[in-house]
Amino acid sequence: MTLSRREFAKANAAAVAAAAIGLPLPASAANLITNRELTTLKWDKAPCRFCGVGCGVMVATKDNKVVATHGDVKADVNRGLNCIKGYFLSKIMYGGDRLRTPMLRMKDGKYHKQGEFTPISWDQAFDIMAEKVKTAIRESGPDSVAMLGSGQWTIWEAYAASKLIKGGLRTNNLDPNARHCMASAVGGFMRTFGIDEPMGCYDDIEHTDAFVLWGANMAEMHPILWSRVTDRRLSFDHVKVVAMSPYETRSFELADIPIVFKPQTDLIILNYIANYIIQNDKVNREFVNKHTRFVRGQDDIGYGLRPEDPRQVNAKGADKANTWSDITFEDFAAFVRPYTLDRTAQETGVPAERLKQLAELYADPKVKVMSLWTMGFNQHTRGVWANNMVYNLHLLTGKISEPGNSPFSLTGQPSACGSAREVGTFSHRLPADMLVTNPKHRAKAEEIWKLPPGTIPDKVGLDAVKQSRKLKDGEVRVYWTQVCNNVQAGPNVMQETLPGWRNPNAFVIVSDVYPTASVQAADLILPAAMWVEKEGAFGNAERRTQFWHQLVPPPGEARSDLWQLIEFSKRLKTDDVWPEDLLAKAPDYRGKTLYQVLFTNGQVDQFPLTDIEAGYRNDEAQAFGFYVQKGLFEEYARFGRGKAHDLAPFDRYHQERGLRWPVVDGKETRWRFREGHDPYVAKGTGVQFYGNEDKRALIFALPYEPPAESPDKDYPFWLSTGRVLEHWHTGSMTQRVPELNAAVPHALVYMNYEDARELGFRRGSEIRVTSRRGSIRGRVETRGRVKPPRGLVYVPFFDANRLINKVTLDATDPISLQTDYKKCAVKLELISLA
Amino acid sequence: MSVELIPVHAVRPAALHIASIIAHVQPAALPRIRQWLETQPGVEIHAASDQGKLVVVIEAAQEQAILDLIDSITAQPGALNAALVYHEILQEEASPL
Repeated sequence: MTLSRREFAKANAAAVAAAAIGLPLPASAANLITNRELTTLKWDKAPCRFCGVGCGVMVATKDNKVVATHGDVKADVNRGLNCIKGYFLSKIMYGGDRLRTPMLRMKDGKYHKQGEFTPISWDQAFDIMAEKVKTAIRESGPDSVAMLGSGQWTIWEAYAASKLIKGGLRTNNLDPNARHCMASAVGGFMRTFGIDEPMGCYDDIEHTDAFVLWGANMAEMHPILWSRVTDRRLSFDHVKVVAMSPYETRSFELADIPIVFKPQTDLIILNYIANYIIQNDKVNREFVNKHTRFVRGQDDIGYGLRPEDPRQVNAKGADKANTWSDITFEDFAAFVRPYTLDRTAQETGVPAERLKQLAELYADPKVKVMSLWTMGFNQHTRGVWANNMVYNLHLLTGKISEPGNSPFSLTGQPSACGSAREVGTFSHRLPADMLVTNPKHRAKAEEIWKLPPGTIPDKVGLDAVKQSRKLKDGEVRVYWTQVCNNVQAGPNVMQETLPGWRNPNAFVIVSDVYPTASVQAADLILPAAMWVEKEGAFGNAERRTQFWHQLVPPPGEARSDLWQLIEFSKRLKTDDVWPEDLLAKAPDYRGKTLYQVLFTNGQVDQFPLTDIEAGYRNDEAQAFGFYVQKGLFEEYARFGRGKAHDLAPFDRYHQERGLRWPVVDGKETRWRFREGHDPYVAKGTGVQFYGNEDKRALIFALPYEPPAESPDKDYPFWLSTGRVLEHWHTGSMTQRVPELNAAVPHALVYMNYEDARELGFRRGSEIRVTSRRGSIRGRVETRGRVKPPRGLVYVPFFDANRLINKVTLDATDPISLQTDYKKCAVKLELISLA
Repeated sequence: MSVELIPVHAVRPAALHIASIIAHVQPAALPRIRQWLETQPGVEIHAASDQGKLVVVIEAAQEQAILDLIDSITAQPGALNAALVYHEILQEEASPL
């Protein structure tokens, strides 16, 4: 075949695309396969650095630099496709302002809170960190130290942090930024099923008859899964798509049933559907009798605000928010009976006919339903309830844990599942769904970690939002954040986060790759390695654990978060941070460093460097002299093996495009709780929700309750925040990609045309968006991808120059402690007409 | 606090970019979108199905053109989704063009 390189490239491009979409190969591409010989590039697999979908990408390196990426055709998740962000992955590491050296705020040659950032050595950085941590613990106890980590940590980074903070420094003040993202989903799973994470998987997309998007704007936030949804919808005429949101999004293009509802009234719709199922006698009685039981959840639970806030003082159930009591099916039926079609239509603003069509999809036993949600449910002051209530619908009808019938909680971060949830870096958790408040769970962790009994504290630590408040109150004195940007991403920046970080009593350390808003608010900056600059592992939204090798070195003196955590542990001795009574229980540990106790414990250091796959560098293993990632992973895996969280042996993941846990006898699990799919389900039972002792899932009676703040005459508009396709979260990576930044350089204020006209704004006018907490300036967009109804504006949060979290309210779900970024009240004022 | 952090970089000129895009469109809109695509510079349609799936290949001097094409496909009435699949940069010096 004589093709010019140009024609070859075009044929190849077409062939890969056709294969990904299931179309026959175009004639031009016949006999062509991806021809690696044409290039001198070295190609390796890695999961994408961005969202929770977990697409596989192929990464090409040349001369220690990533030069190209493309979708991995062998990856189950994305089958060769890439979204725009994934497409530009190769560029995220090469922004001109990459951090390359540790920097400390200094004045007159020493640390000063108001000093200028000055380059220092790693030794100097660890010296001052050690001094600050030791002083804080000596003077104010271990709880004066706190850490905020991330659902973007690799699994072993999260695990090392958990050991260092909970087992070494002896405080549970460790939380991941996933608190802002997934905590309500976790609460929903734990309350209904007693075990975390979805029972189904992405394969449900190709088996279902109806997709119901509860708020999720998959077209922009999960574009690759959306292409699978779109493919299913276009390929089968009977398939329906319901798009629900408080504003119209790009996902509405595909919707057979579009539903725009008033904020917070999703709770009413959920109870209406439950009522519809019962009133129309569509309850799957056999399933319900065998596999579920009914409970009534505590109501009037408050809004997770500071305790003196009147909305907290008046909430009767605030101190027992996460409790429930048994009821009967009849009680449940009576509880949801008031949620009639008429009432629901009236209070939600949704036409009755559409509500009925939606309810019928759930009720009809012949229709398989996949419910999908992300931040609309999770960032909600009743987020755990919303999660519980959507499970109610699937449980009442038995539409769960089988191909196509799937309540599916999507995630936003690449390892919110792997590193935040499974490793248990939340302030109340330990690995494999265990809790710090449970004495048996602590004992098990202490045994695996070879720590004396009583090392891990028994009280729940500070969550992300409380960390900011306690910094402001002066109770947290040393604060370390890694792989997150909480000054930009956290709520109510001007009243809580920033005053906390800049409190003279606080010493704030930020590990990051670019000068984010958080980096600029820090006292000590540690330059980090990212993505394929280190060996890593992520866990995606369908329980899939994926590994990658280090492919390139990090720039300058940047080091991975893993190296930072472990190297720092060498600077602290047990005698510095443990009390005498604990040392007396473990005399061998006297005078030892936390590095010796936690990381050279005969387990983490048991695998030699020769175990590293030939041809790959591994900076951390070389630095410590053993295969540290493998040692950490194998120690961590002991928590979950035999407990329905089984992981495969370490080396296998380097060979696979990921495996979905539990991995038992070498086989992954696609549908949990279902006999024939899940090895933990006993023979002959059909279905077992084994997370709960009685192997039943709970159906929760929960009411509608209003949001923490609603529009009024002074602040007449709803504000909802979120993302856009081109940027990921706070934009610290995607804004370094010139093409993405040029496509969407600024956050816009998306609003309804009629509202804009009435207020005298034009498209492009600069306006001020003000809440009771702060304000930003931004330009009006009335024709954008987001089309709000009257009375609501939408502002994305990626833009550090238009920091919308100055405006948001730090109200949280009282059970999950996750912030509601989707609802607060604002007013709009014209600055210049344009 | 100053948060004027992010420089808006100029887009660099580059060599020849070849990329493929998968588009999903409502079947009813397929003929119109097809026709529109055929008038776009550097764009070829390599495969299509009646269900509304298209394999689009673009060659362009700048990456920005690829992004713009995706954006304008998505903006077409009846277009549901557009995803990038493949991208290759043909360097000038090695190119037999």
